[in-house]
Amino acid sequence: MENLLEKLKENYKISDLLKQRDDLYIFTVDKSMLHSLLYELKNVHKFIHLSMIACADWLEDGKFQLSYVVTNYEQQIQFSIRVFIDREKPEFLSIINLWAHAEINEREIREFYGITFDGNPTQFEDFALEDWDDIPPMRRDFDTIKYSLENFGERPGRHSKKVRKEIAVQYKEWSRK
Amino acid sequence: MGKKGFLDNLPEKLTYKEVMERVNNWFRAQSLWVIAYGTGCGSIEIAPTFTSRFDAERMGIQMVATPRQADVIVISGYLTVKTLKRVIRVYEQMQQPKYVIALGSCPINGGMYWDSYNTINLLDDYIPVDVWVTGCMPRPEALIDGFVDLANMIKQGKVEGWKKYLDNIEDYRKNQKKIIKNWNMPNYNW
Repeated sequence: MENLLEKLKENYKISDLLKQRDDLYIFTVDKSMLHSLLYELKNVHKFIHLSMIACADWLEDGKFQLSYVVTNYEQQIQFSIRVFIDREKPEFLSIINLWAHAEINEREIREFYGITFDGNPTQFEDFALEDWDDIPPMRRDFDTIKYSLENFGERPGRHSKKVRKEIAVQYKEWSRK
Repeated sequence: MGKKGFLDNLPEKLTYKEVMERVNNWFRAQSLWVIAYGTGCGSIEIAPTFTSRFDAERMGIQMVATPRQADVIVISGYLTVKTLKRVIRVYEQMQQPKYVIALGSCPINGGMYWDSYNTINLLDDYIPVDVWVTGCMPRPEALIDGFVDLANMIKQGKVEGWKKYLDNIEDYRKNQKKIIKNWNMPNYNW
């Protein structure tokens, strides 16, 4: 596996290599290199399965991180390939020509983070939300408590501490007996 | 359940209509049919309620497949905006009289999802609720206890939720349309 990684290092701009476990390597690649790297991993090195696409919001750095996890079942090994894209311009290219089931992963990321994927025909359909008209809810600048209070209200006494105190008093009396 | 009947505590003069209402209520309390529809994690507790260990059918409570046959809908656990749309549609298709049981702490005040971006906090703003069962999650015994309470209330003629819904339909609609933005539901003419 070290041979393969060194070969990849020569050909692609790979940085921040981390051996998380014996069977999991994490590294970062430039976003222009990702598609050719995935193509080579799938067709030459038998990483035949795209396990998932994850997204993280680095608000302070102004970046979105996409993690593509691919699996080689013959050697039982996984690569988690990270790509950083600009937060101001959340656009990327789709990989549905390599794995067709990436369509639904990309649709989910489009709905929850607002990242659009060029080449994905169904990305603007609903995934889990219906008629959402605010900023995407998994972005870190979305204030979920404020949204909840404005739209769904709050039952009076929800934050009352009287009940907890009462339970604590009763529990102490009960445990003495 | 049936020690208290419709013949207890009769006032001296009753009209024919009032007597028939009491008879009907007594029959309604003996056969509560529940629509087989679960909204959240609480639906995992509904299935064992109807199996042989807890055996809700000894009290005439049983699952049915369609809203037209059902008397009771159990809101089991957290309710997202997307599910609320389906719940309203199911509730409006049910035949009167119809009853609502809210199961668990999420329908009461949001529970542990009170600050979520897509779960509602106040269920009784959108549909009328007759019985609240607290807990997270309530065991099947608690659910059966809720059914027994509902049956006793029906026998006494105290369950007025569906009438309240008809009388205040415009207020309920206003609340429903506030969070369901694309309102593309049919109007049922009751």
